[in-house]
Amino acid sequence: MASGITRARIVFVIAALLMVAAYFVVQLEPADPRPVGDISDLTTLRDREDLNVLFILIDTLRADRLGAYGYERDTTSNLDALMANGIRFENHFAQCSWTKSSMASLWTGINPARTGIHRYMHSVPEDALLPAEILRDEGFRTAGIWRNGWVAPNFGFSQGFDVYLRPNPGRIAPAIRHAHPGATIAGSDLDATKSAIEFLRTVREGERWFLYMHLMDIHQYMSDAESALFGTDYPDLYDNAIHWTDRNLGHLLDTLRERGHLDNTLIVIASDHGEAFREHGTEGHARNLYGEVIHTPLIVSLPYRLEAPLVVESPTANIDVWPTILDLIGAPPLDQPDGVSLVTAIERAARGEAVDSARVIYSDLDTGWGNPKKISNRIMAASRLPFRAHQRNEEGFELYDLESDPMERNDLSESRTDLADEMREVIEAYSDSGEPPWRPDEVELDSLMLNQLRALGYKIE
Amino acid sequence: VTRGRSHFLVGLLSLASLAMLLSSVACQREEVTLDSIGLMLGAGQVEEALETIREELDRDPDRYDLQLAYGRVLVLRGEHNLAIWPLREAARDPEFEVPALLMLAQSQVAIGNGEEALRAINLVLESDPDNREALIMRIEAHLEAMALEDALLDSEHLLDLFPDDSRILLARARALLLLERAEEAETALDELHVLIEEDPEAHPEETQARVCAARAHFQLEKGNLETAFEQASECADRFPASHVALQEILDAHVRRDEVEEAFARIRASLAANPMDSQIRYLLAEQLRFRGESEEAEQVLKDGLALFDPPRSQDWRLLYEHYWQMKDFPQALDAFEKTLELVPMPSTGDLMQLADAHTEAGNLDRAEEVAERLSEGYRELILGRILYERGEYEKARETLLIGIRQWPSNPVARMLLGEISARLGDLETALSEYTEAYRIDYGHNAPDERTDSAKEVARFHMALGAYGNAIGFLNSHLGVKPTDIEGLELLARAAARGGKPELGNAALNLLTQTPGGFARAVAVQSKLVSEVKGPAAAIEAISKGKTDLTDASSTRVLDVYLRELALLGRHEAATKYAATAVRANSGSGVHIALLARARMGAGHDPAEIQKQIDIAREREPDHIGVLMIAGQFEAEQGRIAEAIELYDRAAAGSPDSPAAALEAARLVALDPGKREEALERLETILADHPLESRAATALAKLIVESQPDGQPNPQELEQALRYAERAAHYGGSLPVVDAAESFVVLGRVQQARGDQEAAQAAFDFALKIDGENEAAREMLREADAATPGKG
Repeated sequence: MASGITRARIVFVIAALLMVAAYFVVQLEPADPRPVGDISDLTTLRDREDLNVLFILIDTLRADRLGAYGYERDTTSNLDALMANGIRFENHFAQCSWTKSSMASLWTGINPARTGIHRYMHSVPEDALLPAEILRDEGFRTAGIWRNGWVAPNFGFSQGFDVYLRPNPGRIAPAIRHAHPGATIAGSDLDATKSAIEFLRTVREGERWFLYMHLMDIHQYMSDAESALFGTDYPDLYDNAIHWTDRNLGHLLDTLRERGHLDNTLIVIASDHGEAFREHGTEGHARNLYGEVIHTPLIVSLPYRLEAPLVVESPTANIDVWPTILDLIGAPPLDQPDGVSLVTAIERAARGEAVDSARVIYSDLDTGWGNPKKISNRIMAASRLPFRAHQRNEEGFELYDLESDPMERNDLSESRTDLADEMREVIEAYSDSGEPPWRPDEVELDSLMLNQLRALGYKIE
Repeated sequence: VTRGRSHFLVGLLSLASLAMLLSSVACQREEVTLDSIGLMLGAGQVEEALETIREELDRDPDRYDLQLAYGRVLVLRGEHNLAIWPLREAARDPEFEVPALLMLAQSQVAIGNGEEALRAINLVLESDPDNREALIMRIEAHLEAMALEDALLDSEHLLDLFPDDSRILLARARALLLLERAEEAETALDELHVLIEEDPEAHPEETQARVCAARAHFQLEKGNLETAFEQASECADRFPASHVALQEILDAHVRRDEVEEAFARIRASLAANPMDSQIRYLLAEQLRFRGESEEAEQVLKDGLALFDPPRSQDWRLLYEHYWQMKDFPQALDAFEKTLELVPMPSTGDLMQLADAHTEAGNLDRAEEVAERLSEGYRELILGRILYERGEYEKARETLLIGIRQWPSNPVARMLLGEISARLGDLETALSEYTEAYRIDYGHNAPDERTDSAKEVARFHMALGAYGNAIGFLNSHLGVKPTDIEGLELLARAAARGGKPELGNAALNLLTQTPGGFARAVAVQSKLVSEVKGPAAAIEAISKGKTDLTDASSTRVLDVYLRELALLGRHEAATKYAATAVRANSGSGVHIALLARARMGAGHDPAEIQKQIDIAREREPDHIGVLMIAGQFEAEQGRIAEAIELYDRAAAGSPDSPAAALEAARLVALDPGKREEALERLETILADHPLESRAATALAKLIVESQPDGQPNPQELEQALRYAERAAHYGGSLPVVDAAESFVVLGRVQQARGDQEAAQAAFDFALKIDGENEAAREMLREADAATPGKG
């Protein structure tokens, strides 16, 4: 009898322990709840009815400052973790080193030579078809949270968004520092992140959504004490700001996980241009088209995990971003884009096939974009790996071999004349690459707006 | 086994039942009502209330009443960019649509999204076209979006509907002003004025005062001084407590040159508003400007006496007054009292107090205050305190922590630059000065800028980058056009950079500064001497027709006599000096200059001694006299006396290393005082980090004092660092000194056994100065030592 009671107690205790264990199993979610998949599952995404799109544009982010792109500093642990099970495009280039022109190409998939959006008063017209319009028509709830004045509604970038919000808090939290002396735009990306989290809170069961976040703190060299890890000079401050931005993204990714969105959201991260630290004599951006200002990251995180990161080595461009996203989710395409869906490139990379070395990526900048007079000072760059050519107006031409000279210091235009002639023709053909499906509008900017843009550090006459 | 199994099942089921029971208890949540939320908010539990709402909305997003409440709380917290999301949700319910959309529009206006605000307002107007609040808000939204014509159109339309609404009239006036339609704006203000006059009680007094003052201001802008004055007087009389009205009448008085009347008006205003500390300070400030600082102090003390206990703001005003009067002990006492009365002093207040104590030399108290600051701020202050205490390494480490967190602080960066330079880390120093410059000139208003551009220019000059230096100096002089040192540097940089016209322009500007003429001539002569030799310098001074006997031209006379001496014309120098002594009633410095000339001419030392004694008696602390006396003692072999005189001169001229260098040179003559000489030179280098001659002297002393056969490799490496530093940063040196730095570098390299590097250094020295015999000799020796040569 006594032994029976003892045994019963033991059984009872074991059962209790099992219950406790079961409780913890239920409570503790796995760090990444996404199922494991492979590249062959890519094409099944377009059949899913629950897929959402989170597009994060990190302003002024050069690729070589991310851990996953080989940077030695631990700037981007959250982005690196995302890339560990996702797709990274190694040779990805922006179409301009100035935000508005770059973003016009990114959203429309059309090169600047055809968008015609080169100058500060140009805007994307209503005739242009933007991804948010396509997604809204597909039943997505569309929201944009932006902090760079060059993508303001008056430049035509709000088309298709149910809400296009500049999260201006009116005052900056005291814990966040402006590192950039010209950083006078209000608020920080923390406001954008908090606002995005509130947006996610309002998403209903079964409702599809597309969220665009345009983060700005790297442009502003902004960080908080916890992110200020890398020193005090200008490039250090830039890294501090990247770390701060990555931490904000960490909060957002946590929210996606907590709210059960990680396995039904396609996350795409890109940048409009990089940043120079006197590699070619200038600081900042929007002045030339060397690698430091056009080599930007492109990261795709799928609603499932790849067992190992996939690196696409073939050259890709920001004009490919939306053709790819729309292709992946099975939405209608953009209107006559120059960019292409990268699904094929991804599949080729997964199969270990050779890099597409024939593709030319164009970047295009009118350095006179801030001048109200029509004085054009245009630079066009053609990246046909491993070479990059730069044509400045009629006269200036430079040619570099990026394999042996990744910093673009040794101009080969005199020594490789055949190749130089060939690249000249390539650029000439680009500059005559035809009409866009629409003509750019021109807007009149009031002095307030111009001052806000000047506060970003841009020189507008 | 069966029993065991059944026990197990019973146990499991019991636990499961218990778990279900607990779970059901947990799930029996108290219903979240607006009242319960209200109670939480009323009790100050804002975070708890928000969390409760969020949990409830996660469970039931269709609680539109809660969505609206959530949005409202966020709006009240100023978190408009978060509020818009629940407000949009609330607007889905017809019951809450209008209030939610209006609040949404308000939030969008608050965060500057005029177009989004318009979207929300238009949605309200779609269902309720005459909604007055929405229509008024639409004007605000149009104004925010700078859609000024639309704002005007809406306001005019609304005025037809609600002609007596002062908010609409005010908005219309704003739109007209922004459209620069001044006359119509003025008419709108007049209409508003009439409306207010009809029923003043319906409008807040401050609104009335502002409208009144704005009307007067219009008259002032139009040049109708009399009307403006009358209207402004009326406003000031009617609204004696309004600062806007007071400012308007003061402006009117000033335009009429009625300074006394303006002053009397301030007095009267304070009499009418004795509690108003702003007006009180305005009066005290005016009294201070008039030199009546005692009365100013009394006025502020009267303000203190009005309250028991006194108000912190009144102590703060007294602090400001004392600080302006440079009465630092009283100022600090007043500031301490200010903060004693503030329950939670702000970071800015504590920083200001700590800074003020540091400035006044109360370092211990400054440290106590700094310890109350949060990390980052604290380090910025502590860094400065450590600097003042001479703990430079610690100061650097501490400042670095502060700057990492507050990188946009140019003052801290300048200090870090100075400390780094003092510690010999010139690269970091330049980097910090450059960052300070970037902040100053990219962001700060001109009057807030530090001297970062001048410091960066100094470095670029030392590096021989004269073009860059010119650019930075131009920036600096753009802000401080009469900065004597900046103009001198520009003249030097321009001369070195091959831009004589710019150099002359800088010298011309220098002549326009107080005492600048002689300084300009002296600088120009030195520059001419460097480039074309002493004869050309003498000619330039003669052509300038400067009266060398004039007391204000002593500096030029000094240069002139030196140049004559360089040409060996000692008797001529003596003659000129004697004339100057006669013309200046035997001033000490002129007698000393005469003594120096006579030293050069080889006159009787006893006579020179007498003259030097007279000079020292007449001007015992004059740096020039002390330097010449030191020179004389040294020439007479009385080294200890010479060193003492140079030390006194050095103590009196902390900005110039010349005397300290002479003293160190004399100390180094005694092999037994090698360590003292090294220490002296290191101190000079710390105090004047770009003084390459000190670095050269250090390297030379080390290399020359190495024992033959067994040199100390560590010391030689140190010598190499000094020699390289001297050569690298020798861009500001005269040619002779620059060449000397390379000769010393070559000798150090020789001692280290690197003959190739030594030869390169001697070669370079000869390139700089073709007449450098030492370099030529060393090269000959080197060639002779090379097999196959010589």
